Amino acid sequence: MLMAGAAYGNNLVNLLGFFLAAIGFVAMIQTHNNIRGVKVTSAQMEPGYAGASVRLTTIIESNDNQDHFHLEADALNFVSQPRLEFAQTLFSRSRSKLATNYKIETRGKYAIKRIRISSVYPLGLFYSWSLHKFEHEFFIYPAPIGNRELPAPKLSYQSEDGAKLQFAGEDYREHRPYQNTDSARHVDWRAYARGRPLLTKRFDEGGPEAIILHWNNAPQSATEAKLSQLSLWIELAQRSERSFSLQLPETQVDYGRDSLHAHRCWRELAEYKSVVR
Amino acid sequence: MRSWAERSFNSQYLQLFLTTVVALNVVPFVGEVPIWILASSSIFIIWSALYVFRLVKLPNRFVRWIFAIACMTGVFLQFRSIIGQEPATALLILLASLKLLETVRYRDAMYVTFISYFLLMDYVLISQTLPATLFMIFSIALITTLLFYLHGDRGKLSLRSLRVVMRTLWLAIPLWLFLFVVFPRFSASLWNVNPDTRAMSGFSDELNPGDISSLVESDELAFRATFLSGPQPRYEEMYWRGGILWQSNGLKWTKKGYSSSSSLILNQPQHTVQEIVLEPGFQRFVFGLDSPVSVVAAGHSPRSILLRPGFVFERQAPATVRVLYTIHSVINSDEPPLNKFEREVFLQAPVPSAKLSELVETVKRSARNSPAKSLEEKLSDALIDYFLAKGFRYTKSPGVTASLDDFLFNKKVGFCEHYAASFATVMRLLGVPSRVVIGFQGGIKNRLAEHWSVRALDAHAWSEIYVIGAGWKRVDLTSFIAPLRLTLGGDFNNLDPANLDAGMTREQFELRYQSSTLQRWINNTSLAFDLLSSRWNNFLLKYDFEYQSSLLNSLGVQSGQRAWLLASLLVGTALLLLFTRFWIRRSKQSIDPIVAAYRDFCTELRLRGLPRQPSEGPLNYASRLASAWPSLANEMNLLLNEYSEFRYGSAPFKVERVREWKNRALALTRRLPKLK
Repeated sequence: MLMAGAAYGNNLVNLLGFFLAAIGFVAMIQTHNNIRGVKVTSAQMEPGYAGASVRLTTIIESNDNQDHFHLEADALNFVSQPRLEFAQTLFSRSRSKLATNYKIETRGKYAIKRIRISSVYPLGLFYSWSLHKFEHEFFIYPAPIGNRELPAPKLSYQSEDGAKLQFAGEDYREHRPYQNTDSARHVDWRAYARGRPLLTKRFDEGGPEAIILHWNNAPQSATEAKLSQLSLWIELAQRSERSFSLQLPETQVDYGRDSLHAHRCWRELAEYKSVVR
Repeated sequence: MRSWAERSFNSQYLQLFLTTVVALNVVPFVGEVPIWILASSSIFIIWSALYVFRLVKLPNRFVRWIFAIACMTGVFLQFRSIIGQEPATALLILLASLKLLETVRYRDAMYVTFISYFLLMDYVLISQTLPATLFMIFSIALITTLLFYLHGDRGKLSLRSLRVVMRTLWLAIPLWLFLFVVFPRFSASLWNVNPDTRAMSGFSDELNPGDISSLVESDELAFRATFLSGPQPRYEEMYWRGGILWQSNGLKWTKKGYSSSSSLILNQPQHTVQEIVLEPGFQRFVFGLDSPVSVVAAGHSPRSILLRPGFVFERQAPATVRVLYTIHSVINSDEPPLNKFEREVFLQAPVPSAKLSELVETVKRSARNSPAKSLEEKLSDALIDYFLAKGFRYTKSPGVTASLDDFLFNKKVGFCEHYAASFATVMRLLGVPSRVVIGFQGGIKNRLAEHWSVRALDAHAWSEIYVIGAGWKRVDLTSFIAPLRLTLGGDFNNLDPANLDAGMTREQFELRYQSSTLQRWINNTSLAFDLLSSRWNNFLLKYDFEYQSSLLNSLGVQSGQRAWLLASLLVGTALLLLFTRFWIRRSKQSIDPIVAAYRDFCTELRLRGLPRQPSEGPLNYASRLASAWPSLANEMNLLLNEYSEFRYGSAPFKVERVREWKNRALALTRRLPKLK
């Protein structure tokens, strides 16, 4: 525009150009000010499968008197996925949650060293960012690929009586009062129907219906394929709420059926003969 | 570049915003670009507006491509080129409005925003008036708001965010003015580019009956003139000379066949100096008070405006933008006597009909009785008497006049151009060298300022005859046929004759026409606006290299220092950027005081033999500490609970409380016995 103004000897075009330049300059300072005072309170990458989308949740806070617009967070050493929602606003003296999606192709244990908070507010022409030291480790589990049929329960596995399957939940040992986190499938509805309070059936974790997910059980030959099969089995077992244990050549995880247990098993798979990245 | 470039905004609000921005920036081009371009653009804009309310669907990609190709082909067929300002403007208009039909993504929204800025620039190239300036500021504010909207608070536009936009614009103003004042200008236009050539109809190198009367319908401004020094003529004498014509075809005059440079004999020291701001649209014409003798134009080399014979200045290249110039005029001009060749040129006339020859003889006979001194003036007076005796009338809509004979013997109604042309032609037949002058007569004075506004409706044509021994003499037949045309200026053309009194002056006329309060108020407002416009135009035109130099000189910046000023501007900006960078670094390193206090606390505990495990949160740590020092368990728990409340809770953050916490924590650690 300055070129046009000079070319045409037109001062109004100059005025226009200078106004835009001045707005741009002010915007540049605003872009920087906008990011100042934003602090990272926590950042957490939720675990996920290799090749699938995993989410980094960053909590940011502001202790000053200004609002911060159009903020985005990302972990410095990872390449984020295209963002599909609006960037977040952090109002003065408040907290806000930023979500960023990643796709990491290889299983393993990863470490986030620094979180970058960035913004292109207000004009989209200037980009400003600040780096926040925030160390966090997370796991990417092997992709769940393979045979969708679970190995036979321990009982059958031991007695080779595959036809006689016993389903999870049929041999509970005792009741305990219902807690919010308990699965509806474990509630003793029959007892409830008889007028008793909500009770959760407790099972013997190592009971006869429990499955052993054994390294040798996976039919594949390659290590990664075996890990993928085990990963899939863990997911299936967890989904059907069956008790299972994991046995790897060097380590093993004892029986369990809750999600904490499942994640523990997955972590073992993720770390199996791998280095921290 | 960024991942969000593909993000789609499926927001009706955004679409409406974009449509409004494009529509607003296309509207000023009404009348500036071919009508089909505006029509197609309107169709796209209306389509988009209907889509906002989900009344129609957007066309698919295939249809959009067809539209785009059709638009480009149309522009090419219209202008035979797609390079140049006019086709570029047309393309920008079409593409900006077409883009609305596919705007669902962030990236498209950004395109539309930037195209709008360019449309605005294009408009500013065409028009540099005060309203254009105000429009420009408004439009910048709107487009910038759109940008803020795109990058602001999750697609919301609240009063709060509008305030931020306003603050940005407000903060930009000082820098804007600073840049405008000190940014180096060049002494002349860098390249000789012509934005475009739009002519105000009526002024050309020909005079045809009807040319000037087409002008007087419009009260558009032609130029503003300020008398700087020298004698100021009476209102009736305010003839603004623009060009002369010397080839007579009866009623039609042209300037074919003769051209020479001219030299002036200036024996009149007293000049009337005027500063004139001429609107674009008059091609090569340069107007000045009759008769101009020298011109200096701002931003123009002396050779770009040449003196032509007959006290006429002419631009080398057609004017495309507003021009400011200072022109010197003398009230009574002198030209060197006509040589034989020139005499022949100025006596050329079409072969008269029998009736016309008879008229010439009649005039010659009656001239003998005239009291005037010279033969030429005797003939001129006799011819004027003839016109008055035959009952000629003045009208701005004379209808079609086929020929000189038709006018003289049949219609007997005409406009200034008919009188100027017929008078000059008949004078030639009488043997007196004559010519037609075109320009303006009159104008209105802005009472609030010192300038005169001369409008299209003040356009006028008159004749000049050559008197041996006395030189060229102005004879305006119109002033005899319709004396009020001179005393009232061009306004006379648009007035009902029934409301006018013979011999009325301009002041009386103004009083009569501004008797009502409303009328006076309207009039004053328009005068004030005219004044502001004039000041603004002058500022924009005058603020060039020389003006900047003189302004900076007066501020103590010598011309040799200008390089320094520019250099320091650049260095200053660089330093500012470095400083901001440093700032970013610092803010990055600063850490939350509560975290620092907690860290100190943990260090103390490590020294006392119970370090915090890296994975340990404050509450877990607290329970471990409590079991290690059971006597202080309660205090320990309280302290670390408070810490996690500070750090992760929703309570507002207070520096004093953090300080207090830190003191308490350190005091506690001092009371701890060292573990084995």
